[in-house]
Amino acid sequence: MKFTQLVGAIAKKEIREIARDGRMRLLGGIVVLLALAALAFGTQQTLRAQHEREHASERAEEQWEGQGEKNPHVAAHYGTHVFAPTSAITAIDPGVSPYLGRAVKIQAHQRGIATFSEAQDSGQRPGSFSVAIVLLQLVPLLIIALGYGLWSLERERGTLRQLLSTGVDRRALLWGKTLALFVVLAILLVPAAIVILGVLWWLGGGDGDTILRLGLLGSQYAIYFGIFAGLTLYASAAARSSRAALVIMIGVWGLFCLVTPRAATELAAALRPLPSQAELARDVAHSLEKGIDGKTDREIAVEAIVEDMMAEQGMSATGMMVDESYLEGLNLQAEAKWEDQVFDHHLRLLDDRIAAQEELVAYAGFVSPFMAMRSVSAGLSGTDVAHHRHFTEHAEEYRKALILQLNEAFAANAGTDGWNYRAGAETWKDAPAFTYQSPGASFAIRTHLVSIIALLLWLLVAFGLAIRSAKRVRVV
Amino acid sequence: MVLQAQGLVKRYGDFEALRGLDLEVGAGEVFCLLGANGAGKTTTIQLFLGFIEPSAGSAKIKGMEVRDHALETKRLLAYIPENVMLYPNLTGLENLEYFATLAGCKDLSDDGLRATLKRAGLPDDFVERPVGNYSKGMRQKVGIAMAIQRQAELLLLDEPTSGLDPKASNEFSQLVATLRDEGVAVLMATHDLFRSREVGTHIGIMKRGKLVARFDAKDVSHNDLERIYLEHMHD
Repeated sequence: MKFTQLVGAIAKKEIREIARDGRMRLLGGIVVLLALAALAFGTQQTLRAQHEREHASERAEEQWEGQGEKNPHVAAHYGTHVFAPTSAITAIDPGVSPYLGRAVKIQAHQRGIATFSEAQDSGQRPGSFSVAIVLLQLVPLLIIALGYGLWSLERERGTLRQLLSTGVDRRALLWGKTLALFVVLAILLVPAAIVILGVLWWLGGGDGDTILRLGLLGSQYAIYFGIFAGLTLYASAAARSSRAALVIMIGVWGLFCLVTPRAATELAAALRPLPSQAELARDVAHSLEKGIDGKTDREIAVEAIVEDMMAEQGMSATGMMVDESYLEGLNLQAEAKWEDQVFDHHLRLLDDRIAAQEELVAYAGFVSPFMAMRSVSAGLSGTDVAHHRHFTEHAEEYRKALILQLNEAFAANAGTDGWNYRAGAETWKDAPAFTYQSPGASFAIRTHLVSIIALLLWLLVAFGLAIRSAKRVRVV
Repeated sequence: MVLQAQGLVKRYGDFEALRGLDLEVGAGEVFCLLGANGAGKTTTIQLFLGFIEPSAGSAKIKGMEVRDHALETKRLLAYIPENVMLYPNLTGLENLEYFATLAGCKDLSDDGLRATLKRAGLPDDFVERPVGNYSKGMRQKVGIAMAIQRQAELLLLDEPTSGLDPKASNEFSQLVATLRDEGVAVLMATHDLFRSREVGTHIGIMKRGKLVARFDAKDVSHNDLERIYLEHMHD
């Protein structure tokens, strides 16, 4: 008999046994029901977020275009809002999106920080129950429950002796048992996955990028489940008893899914601390007055920028008379430039520190595959910090462009009216529209490459251990 | 020779479980190993199964050293322990099919497997019942069915009739005798003097890891066998 046929026969027998075990049927059913319940919650949250975004975007646009006559710079102060799109995959893995804002205020003199998060709205911890949590935490428990006895129970009830007396290749036994675990998981999860895909399609996730992301997500979760399958088979073969195998694997699960995430976050916060909001605001305020170097007076610096701008336009050396409003417009642009430099500097520092924290947490994926998979899952779902940052950076670019255009409108059109100049609906309609395209799946892969490598490494280690223990499994 | 032990020794630390065992079993022979618990009978069988490795000496099946040809030698034998352990959620038929598949049997047809179970004496109405409902005797019969299905050249029996009622024990012995007559070599560890005299062609008495007596079964009566055995046990 060919090796593959042998593996198939072993898998078939294991599946039969699991299928006839009422406890396993119950456990599998509970996990599937939890996944579907989590999907229902996720769908409801995603639909609400999509609806709120649509509604708020329309209102913001109406308010902007219908704001009446106003000085352009005053309009820049009133500003408007832009909103992050809510991807359909958010229904699977909300990632950090419930904790980070989905809207950015676009206004003069202030770099917008995303606000209006679900956590702020509800004052609770939303998103803690999701399809991703079921896949990340509960499915590994199901794998442990299904797999802890695959070797150890055979040994305890004496069938291992009977099995090995047939001269069967131990590798065939290992791969047969592994295949059985995956087939049982597939029987439980594939129908649930079809329901999930249908819901995502209905939520508007039928585009190529979403399908690619879902495919990658599926393959990464398969690797993640493979890691737990490999480790469980290893524990089952190496432990003295099935009870010991179960206790060891529950311990490993706790270490991976509960202890390491908390420890890694605490360690990252201790090694790469972030400034508090008050500290950040104080530093920004100080730099706005005294420059990034702490030595440059704001007024002098702004004047220098104005002179540079005039020189660029060939006006400084000629001594020609300049329209006061035009000069005011240039002054506003110079102030905006000065402020942008300060905001950019401080937020870049903040981003660098967050990135350093994230890097530390990403390397924790080599300690816990849960950490790695959590990052990859949020990344491929477009709900990680990197996607959030991508949106806020785009919003900031938009803010700069809008403020520049309003200040230029002031400089160009105010004339002798100066601050009394009022722009009308034409100016508001001419303002650039906010368009945002979320980055593609390759962005997520690049961002989480370390975690993907960690997962692959874990898979090799897990199956290396499983193969080694299968060769050495004790019979007596 | 189908089975051959030469100077076979097994030590566990300072304890010698087997001390230079020499033994041969040919085709159509049943060698019954008698002895008290701890005499080394089960150790001998486990050495031929390759579950443990000898400390010295050699254990060969059809000329192949078990240690060096673990898979090939297992292909030639069938093993029936004191309690044939099967998968309780699977039926007798499914258990037989599974073990026969692993052993590389060619004929796995439903009819063929049923015929084998019937030949081993398993009642028809139990063939498709989960093994969890079987008596010990029925499980032993499934064990014999595995040996028949595999067409094993060597049977290793480790106290196979222990705990069976007299009827089941008799049926089991009859099956072993049939296989013997078909040319199968059998090494059977047992406490059952009566059965060993009944089905054995050769009888050996083991004591503290050594074969202290050996004779042809036809040369001794039941009474002689009992007397010899007790003499050795009381030494």
